[in-house]
Amino acid sequence: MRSEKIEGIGSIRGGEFENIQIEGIGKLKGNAIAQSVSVEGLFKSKGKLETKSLRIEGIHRAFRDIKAKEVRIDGVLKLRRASLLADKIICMGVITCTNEINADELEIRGICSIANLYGDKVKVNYYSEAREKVRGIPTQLSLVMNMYFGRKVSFDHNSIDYVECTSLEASNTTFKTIHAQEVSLKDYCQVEKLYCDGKIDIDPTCSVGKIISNGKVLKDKENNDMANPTLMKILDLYKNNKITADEAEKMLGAISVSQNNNNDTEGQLTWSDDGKLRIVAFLGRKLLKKSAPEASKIEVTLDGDVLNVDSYGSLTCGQVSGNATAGSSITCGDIGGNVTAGSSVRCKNVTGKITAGSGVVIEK
Amino acid sequence: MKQNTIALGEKHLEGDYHRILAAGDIWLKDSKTKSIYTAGDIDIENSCIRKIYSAGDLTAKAVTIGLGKVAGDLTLQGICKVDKLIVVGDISAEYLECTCLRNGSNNSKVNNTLHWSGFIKAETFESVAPFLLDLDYEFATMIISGPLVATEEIACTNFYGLDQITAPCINADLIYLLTNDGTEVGELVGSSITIETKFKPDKIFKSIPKTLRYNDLYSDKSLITIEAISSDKVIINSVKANSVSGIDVVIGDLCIVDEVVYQKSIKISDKAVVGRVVKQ
Repeated sequence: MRSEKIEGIGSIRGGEFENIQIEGIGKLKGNAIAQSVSVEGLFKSKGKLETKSLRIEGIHRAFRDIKAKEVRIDGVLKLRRASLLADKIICMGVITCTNEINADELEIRGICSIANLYGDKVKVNYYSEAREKVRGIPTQLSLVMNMYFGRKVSFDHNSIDYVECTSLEASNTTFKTIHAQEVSLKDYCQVEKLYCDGKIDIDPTCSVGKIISNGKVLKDKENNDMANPTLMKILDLYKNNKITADEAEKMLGAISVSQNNNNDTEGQLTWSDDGKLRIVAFLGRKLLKKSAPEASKIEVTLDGDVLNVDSYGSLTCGQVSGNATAGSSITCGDIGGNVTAGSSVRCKNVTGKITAGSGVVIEK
Repeated sequence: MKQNTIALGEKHLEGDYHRILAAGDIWLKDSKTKSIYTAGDIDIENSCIRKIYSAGDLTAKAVTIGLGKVAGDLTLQGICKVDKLIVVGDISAEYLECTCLRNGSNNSKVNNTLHWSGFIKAETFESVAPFLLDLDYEFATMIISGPLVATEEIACTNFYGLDQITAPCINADLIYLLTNDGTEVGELVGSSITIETKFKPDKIFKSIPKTLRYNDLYSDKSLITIEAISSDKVIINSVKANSVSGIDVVIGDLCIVDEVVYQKSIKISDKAVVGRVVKQ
């Protein structure tokens, strides 16, 4: 089987190859199957590409679907009216796609703008350093950039329209819809709709419009704001000159205060009503993170047995039928499930796994 | 003939006196005295005093006083009866019965929150100073013109809240609240509830025995939040409430009410926002 290597400017008609290596400016005109494809310069694929390994260090513009076992992007991959199907994708550069990306394992540590994303384990983390990869493209001119990539691309955050996966971990990314079993969002993620039946962990910096879990709406920001009929009626009174601006301000102030009072706690609760015993910490009205230094100082002693328990700080209790999690140490009897502790674990029998920050003592 | 006495320094007195002037601590026992003026602590037992003005702590056991003005802490043992009592300080009383009881002075400002304990019964209780209502009491009328915080339900016959009130519930036949910023009341229950932005003493108010003279008052026109209001007669203005129910209901200007339930009549201002109106 032959290999193709372009070091200057050239084109490939298609066919079966051992390796395709582009170090200059290359173009794929027909469908190609290759063991490995490496792009270090500029590559434009106008035919379908099927490979075991695709490595992009330059710029790859694909106008037909790509099927690969493993994809590593250190440069730029632009998929226009094309999809990428792979077992594993690692992107340290920039990836844009107007169709869909489908991967069992996807990890983005760069910048992305994707229309549809399907996968099993998906990690999307924004890294501003990836801007360097598009040095030649005028990123300041958003119109030019959007025309070039075929969809709206922001170099301040990632954007994905639709995600469907088993577990999702994201930071500084804007989503329209997420369907996932487990979700962990941090660092200013914005989501319009989140469908998740499992564990939801959302950083307070993130904004989520609607959370639907097990068919129940846990949070609906839209209904809390403009859909509020009282607010609309107050605005109507003001529009009809029945109340003055000062009076309208007072009335709006009264409803916002009462809404804040009602939602202060509820709005921060990102877990579902699952019957699990949670021992959490508030600083004022703010729900602290488990990793917060104030939370680690808490010591809780539970008199009796529990089903599942998740505690900030240290936890001392009797038997735990399910899982036990604590930010600091755990001291308990038998544990029916897994144990996760920030520091030491001292217990009797454990059926599941033990994860501890320091020593583990199993008493007999 | 009853005598007058002047006490300088510490003095123990017994028997009847016309007037006692004391600059120092005095002890008075088994006495009937017309008036006492002291600048110092005073300890009275089993006595009847028509008038007492004290600038210092007062400790009394089984006394009857006509008019008492005390600028200091008051410790009362046994059954003590006072017609009009004005105290600028804390009270600890086993059983105190008054016609008019007032905390604080209308002339001087009290910055600390006063704390009273024990059992106090009064026909009229007037609160001028910041006050924490956390005692066993029986007040017929409460006129609150200083910030009041109650940890439990406030129960009386007539309640006039003319300053900032914080309470989980107010239960009274007649409730009048002036809309003041910071007022937080969970529930209002009564026969007649009025919440207004101005207060003008009416005939009922004028007939109530009291130690102060109340003129017309105007609020800072804040919108106050009350979760539920339930009364035969309801007149409210500048109130945000979840539910209002009554026989005759008037929802005035700048009210925001989620649900109104009425039996006979209802009047809703053009400047009010009402969610649901139900006729029972």
